[in-house]
Amino acid sequence: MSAEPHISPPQLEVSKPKAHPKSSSLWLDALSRLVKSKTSFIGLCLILLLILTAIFAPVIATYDPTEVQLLDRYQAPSSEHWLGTDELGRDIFSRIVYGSRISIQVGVIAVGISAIVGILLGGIAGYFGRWVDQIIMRIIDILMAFPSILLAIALVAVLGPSLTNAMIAVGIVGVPQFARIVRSTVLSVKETEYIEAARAIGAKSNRILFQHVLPNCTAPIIVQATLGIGTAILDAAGLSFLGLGAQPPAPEWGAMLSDGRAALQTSPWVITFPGIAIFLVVLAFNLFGDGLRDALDPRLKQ
Amino acid sequence: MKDETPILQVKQLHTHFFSKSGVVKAVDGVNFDIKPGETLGIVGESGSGKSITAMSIMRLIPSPPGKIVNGEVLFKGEDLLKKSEKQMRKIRGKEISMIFQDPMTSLNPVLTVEKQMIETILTHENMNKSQARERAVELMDLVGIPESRNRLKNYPHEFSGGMRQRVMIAMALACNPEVLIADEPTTALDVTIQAQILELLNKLQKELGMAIVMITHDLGVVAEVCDRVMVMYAGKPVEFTEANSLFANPKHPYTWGLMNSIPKITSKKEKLEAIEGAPPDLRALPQGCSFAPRCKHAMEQCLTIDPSITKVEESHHVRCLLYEETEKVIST
Repeated sequence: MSAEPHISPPQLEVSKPKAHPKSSSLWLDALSRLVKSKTSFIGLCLILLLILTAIFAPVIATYDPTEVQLLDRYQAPSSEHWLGTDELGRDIFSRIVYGSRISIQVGVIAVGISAIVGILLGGIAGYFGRWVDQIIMRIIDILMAFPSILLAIALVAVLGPSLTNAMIAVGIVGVPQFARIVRSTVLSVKETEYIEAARAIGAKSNRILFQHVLPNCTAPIIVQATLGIGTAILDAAGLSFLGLGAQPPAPEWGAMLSDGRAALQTSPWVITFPGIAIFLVVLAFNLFGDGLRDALDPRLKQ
Repeated sequence: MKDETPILQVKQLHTHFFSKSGVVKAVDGVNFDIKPGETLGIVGESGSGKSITAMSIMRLIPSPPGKIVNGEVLFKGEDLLKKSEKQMRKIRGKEISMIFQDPMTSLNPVLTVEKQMIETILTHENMNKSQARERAVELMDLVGIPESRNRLKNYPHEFSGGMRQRVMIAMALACNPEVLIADEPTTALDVTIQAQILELLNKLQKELGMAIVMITHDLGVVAEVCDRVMVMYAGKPVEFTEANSLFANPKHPYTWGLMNSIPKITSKKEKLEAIEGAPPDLRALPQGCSFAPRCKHAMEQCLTIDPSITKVEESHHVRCLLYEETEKVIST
């Protein structure tokens, strides 16, 4: 075999048509820019930490969050009770850990309600215009005229105080923001040529709205949702602080603030640590949401 | 093929836009007809009403403020202007389809090409998804997109301009339309791609036998593909004739102007002869001939008498007083 003159065919690398490069989509682009921004990266880390805490709450918590030990009331932070105990001797660290579950639940469900209702209303108003738009947007204007916490209080007063009703109330309060953002985006998207092209192929109105217009509004919706989760958690904590949200003995952060306010002078840790938890979570969602907005804004692309 | 009865007839089409500052007569009395397998060019400057004519045929005029105030659009003998929105949806994309000027913006950026093509097919054809996908592959092959099966999964931004226009053409042809309205299909493309796309349209027309309404401002495109031409000015047709006869023997002063403003490779030194002035305000058209204020050959009566369209030769119609003396003057 080796004796034969070995004539190898010229090794021309016939450039085989490469499989098309992985689609560097809008979202991948945005993600890489997002991670590069320090503040939004911090936000992202905090959010991940919150989610992990919520998932592994039973593992992380050192005590049962509702276990009453009257002999251990108002213990200062120590190696036994890392963040101290409250007026019923419950471990504050464990309560905060379990409270993260409630906070995530509140944030996601309330924003879910706002988003679904807001996107529908805003989409219909923006797409169909005219009197439909007038009616929907005037209702939205009325909703916006109320201070949000006042409106939430009023709604809970009607529905009755409970965590579920607090979530519904906070969700309704968040509808106007979504509706306005979606409406304005729809107004610009519906004038584009590809929507005209969709009409020219004979597509139906609601098909155009849901298949062509709304998917092009995802970026602002996601930004609003992220920022909205922070606000929703804050609002729900406010309601719970006022006794209108989570009911005892649920370890809700706002309710914990309320429980500890009597002992603010003597045992400040009871109120400090839940306060810090609320602060960090809201900060995290705001940082992340801001970063997301910048990352998705094509004008800021380098 | 060409002496069949017209598939599409537009008669006395008037499309006006009602704005606060007055009525814009964007299309003001357009007449034409087109036979199966024929290509009709509609030529004119920006704002002469070419695109609005096309949109009126498709009944896609944004309303309000736009309104088709008068006229008939007969497709296979039926008046499209009298159809309900539901009936129109069945015609759009199936029997009359349209391709747009800018392929960069006329595909939905968040959906894959496959999804958009399948949507078009499923809207009109009684097929299941996998049949529609096969049809999409067929169409991509038809318009000459290599690796059609893989390319279907791509998003519009992964195609070049020329390829996107091919995708648009493929989508327009999805249901074998009988009339294809091409609204400046090559304007946004560079010259080599323009030629390819025109050639493709020509080839597809021969294969599929559809009629094409080619809207353009480029007389080069007309020379390349059109059988007959309508020149429009200020919402009105000013000259309507065979393409050959338009280039050999242009009659209307506006057409002369258009021809003179094309740079010629043979006469380098000459300054380009632009048509003086700007198109008139469509809200307040001058009395008499709309083109008179810019016309080098305007006579006194041009400012008072609005000429009607007159037959000067066999199948050569012109709206100009220069020729009306030979015929009888019909005041409008």
